[in-house]
Amino acid sequence: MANAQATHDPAAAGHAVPWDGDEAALAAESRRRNKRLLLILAAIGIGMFVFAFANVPIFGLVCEKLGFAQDPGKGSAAALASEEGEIGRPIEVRFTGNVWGQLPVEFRPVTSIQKTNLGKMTVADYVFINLSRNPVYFRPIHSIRPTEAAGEDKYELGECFCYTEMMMHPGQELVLPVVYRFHNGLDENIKAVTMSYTLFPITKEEYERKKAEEAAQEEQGS
Amino acid sequence: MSIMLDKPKDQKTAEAPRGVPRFPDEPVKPVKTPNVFLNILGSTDHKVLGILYLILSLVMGVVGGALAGGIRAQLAAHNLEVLSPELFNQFITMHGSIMIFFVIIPALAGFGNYLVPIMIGARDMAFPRLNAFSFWILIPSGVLMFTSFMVQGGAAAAGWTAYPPLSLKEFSGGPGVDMWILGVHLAGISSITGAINFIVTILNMRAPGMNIMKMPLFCWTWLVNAWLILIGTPVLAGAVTMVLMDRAFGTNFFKPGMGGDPVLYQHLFWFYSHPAVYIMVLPGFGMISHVLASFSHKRIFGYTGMVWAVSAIGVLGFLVWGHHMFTAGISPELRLYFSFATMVIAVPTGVKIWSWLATIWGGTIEFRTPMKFALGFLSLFVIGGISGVFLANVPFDIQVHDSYFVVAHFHYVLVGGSVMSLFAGAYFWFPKMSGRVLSEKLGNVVFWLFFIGMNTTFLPLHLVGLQGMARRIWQYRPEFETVNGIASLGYLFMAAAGALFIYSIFEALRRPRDCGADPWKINDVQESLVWDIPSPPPAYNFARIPVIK
Amino acid sequence: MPRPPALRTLLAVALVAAAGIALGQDFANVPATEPSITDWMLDPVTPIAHEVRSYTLFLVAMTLPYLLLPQVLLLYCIFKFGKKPGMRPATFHENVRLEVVWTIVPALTLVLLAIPAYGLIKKIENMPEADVNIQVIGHQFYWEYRYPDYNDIRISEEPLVIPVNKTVVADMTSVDVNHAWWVPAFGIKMDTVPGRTTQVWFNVEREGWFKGQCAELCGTLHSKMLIDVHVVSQEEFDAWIAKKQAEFAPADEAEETAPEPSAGDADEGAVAQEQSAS
Repeated sequence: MANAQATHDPAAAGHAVPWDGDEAALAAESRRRNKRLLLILAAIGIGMFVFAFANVPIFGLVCEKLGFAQDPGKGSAAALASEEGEIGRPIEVRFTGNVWGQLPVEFRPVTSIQKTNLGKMTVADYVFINLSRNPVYFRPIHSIRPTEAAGEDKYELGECFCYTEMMMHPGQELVLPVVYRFHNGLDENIKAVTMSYTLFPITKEEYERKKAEEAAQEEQGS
Repeated sequence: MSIMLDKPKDQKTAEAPRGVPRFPDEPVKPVKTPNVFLNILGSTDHKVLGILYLILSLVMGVVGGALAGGIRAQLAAHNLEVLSPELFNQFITMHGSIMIFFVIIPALAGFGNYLVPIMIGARDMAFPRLNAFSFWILIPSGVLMFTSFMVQGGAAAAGWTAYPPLSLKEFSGGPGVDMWILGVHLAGISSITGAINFIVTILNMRAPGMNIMKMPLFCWTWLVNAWLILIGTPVLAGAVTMVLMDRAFGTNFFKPGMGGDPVLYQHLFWFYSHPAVYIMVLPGFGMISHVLASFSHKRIFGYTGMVWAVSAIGVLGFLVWGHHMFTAGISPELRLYFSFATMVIAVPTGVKIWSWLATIWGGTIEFRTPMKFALGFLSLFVIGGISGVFLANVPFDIQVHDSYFVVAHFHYVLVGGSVMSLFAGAYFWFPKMSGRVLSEKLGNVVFWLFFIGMNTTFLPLHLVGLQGMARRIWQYRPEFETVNGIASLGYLFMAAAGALFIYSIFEALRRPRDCGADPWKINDVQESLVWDIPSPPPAYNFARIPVIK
Repeated sequence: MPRPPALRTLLAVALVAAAGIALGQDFANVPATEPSITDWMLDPVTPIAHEVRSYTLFLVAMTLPYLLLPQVLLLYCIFKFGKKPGMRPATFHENVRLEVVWTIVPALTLVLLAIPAYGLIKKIENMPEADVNIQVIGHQFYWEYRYPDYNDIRISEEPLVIPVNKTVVADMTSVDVNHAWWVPAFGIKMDTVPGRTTQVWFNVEREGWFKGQCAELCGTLHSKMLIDVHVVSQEEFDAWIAKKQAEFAPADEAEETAPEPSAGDADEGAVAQEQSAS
């Protein structure tokens, strides 16, 4: 009776009164429903955990479509085949070369800025020099900006060292080309495109494994 | 009219709870051993576990507050070296992690555990043993996080966001990050199992007549909150698992150059961690609703609107994570979408603010300590909400992203919002839990110290953020010195408030349990069930299951 | 103690306001002789920074009512509805019309906020034709800048020098962890992410020193990754470029003629590289 108020009707204010139903039956019923709901909710929880991992491939696909991918692939030759030889408006292409962390490789474009035309196959050379006394293993990654130019139907790479596992002997110097072409239908506003390459170190084991895989594939092919 | 205390007409029914099956599948009665300690360790009583959660939160609050003290001491003046830069980064990482995973979330879980079953007229949570598991697994989690300060290389120092590549082996070599990840895993398991328990309890265990649209708002906020945890936390667990695998097993989820993508981590992380902001504040909204209505002696204004607003915040919370990544190089169209979706959240949040104001409007307001904190919450949360709208706008966000403006913003939301609501809740329900009212005199001092301290610390930080002070920096340019000095001064007020709060708990516990079922004299307002039963409530809360008319 | 804390509330508000004013003064008093960080709100120096500033003021204007109105109503309630003997609480607890209004009106305000943002985002994102190209590379814990237009001059740990009133387009990346390049007075900030390229552009209106710093936690010395930009006239810029190019070239020859370093793979390699480049 701690707080009984003379003017106050408990039931009217939503107050409780004792229930006169069958408590045992209620308990049994709720136990049954609780178990079912528990299973459903646990499944949702596990499903969301799996969803996190499922995002890895999904994100890759979405990025590729939108041109955000770190790995935009080599472009689509098929999309460009129809306009073979058609030379469009001029465009400026900038090149950058970077190496990850302390990887002892000097890596830079021979020409940092090229003036070319849409639809025209163009060659850009990069210089690689192993600065150390040991062999180095690495993989070049490329990235294109703005993203409107990086969609898979926007450009084509004829020849490229990107995504190729590479090994360089101590002190070795290489000059490798990037042969590229941008699509004629590139957005009018895009006057310049940046093609950026970064060398990421890989282990010797990974290099050898990749090479073995490639060799095996070639064998299968022939 | 507290029927639960009435002597039942039928003596047989009065004894019944011992005989009838428990509600639902409960060991017959907690075994009475003379050892209080063992009793607590083995307890599956939601009230005991609720209090344990709150004690853990208070203890970790002291730890997190001490870390904040280290940060503010280092930043008190230009080019100090109170902490080494390594230790500073560990402090900011652990301050964030501890405050989120071990203070705010457990405290809300504590109040939820204690109050939700009583408010819906149940005798316990749906799965009492799972409930005990959820709590006890937090202990090893906290130990992992805390002891990581003592391992080689120190605790995790990659920020609580733990962005790769910084959190990968190459840049964070010591075991600190691994321990942090395992700690997050355990805390995540605790959260998820707790959330499942809350959902089942709230959906299935309501007393007869407790229609879901009659349910107290605190239960509603916890229901939405539990869904957020259930959907969001596994994704965080997945993301940090991938970091752990990259670190320990040589996988390449986030390693650039190996086919991985660090930006993917940011997407996954914020898919959880934006809803986490709501996870940390929604039950606080619920508590504030109860306190405001109670001390205004009015019913909560716009109950239905409040329910819809909370649900809308829950759903929208999952659609806006990208606003944490406006400078990560995502496309303008996506940024515009995230920007607009984020601003849309301001609408239901606004509905809550207006409804709270309408609740106190025309009431007879009693300025008791819980009410002071609730009113303080209202004032501070509006500031945090408005700066949130600012940050949702891309051009402005690009400018202040990762600056002290953001730090000021989220402390207004989390300290001005969550912590103020926790204080309000603690003062409000402490009598119910312990049978004693916390000292009003001390409470008044605690409130003013905290309110002034909080504003002195965080309001000036907006200014340095606007001016160009990046967050998470160990030393800063000399022109930021004055503002940071003031902010550090404010910290002292908050620390004093915290110490006094803890003292006032011990002071109250020395007094006899004599506050009665309804010490605030507010049972004419709404929460009949909580304030009908004795303080503290008996085991299983209700001798007979109540029916709500 | 049923006493409305009105006076104390006011006192607190006044204290905070006073602190704010004191701070505002402090900003103005930074000695003008030393290069200091430039407040973009007071002194924006690029077209984007100007627009971001006007947009921010627009934001302030549009949201200020929503900031002030609840505070005013709250204070009003505190003063007006404190419990007094004989007072009875009102009993209303819903008003659909009111609830619809306070849902719709803020929603409309937000739409108004979002519209001008889009044009500005586009402007920030779309790179104009560049007068000067630079490359910004984040390292733990310093910035490297390159000038691809000028024989790929590379500078590290020294101020970025750019000409005034020229459009500068920066391609940015990182070679270790994420960093973020932020100069507040330019109104831009962009993460540098390893393996990806991001871009910003700016056209600085006046000469001077502009300061900024890394804005993404990048490790122990994150706080020491400061950014200094020296904006100079075109003549000074040309002279600086000439000097830098001269520094590069003789260094080459000097190293070529110098005796082989006894140990140090890097030096050897550098020589070889310079030879092939020239």
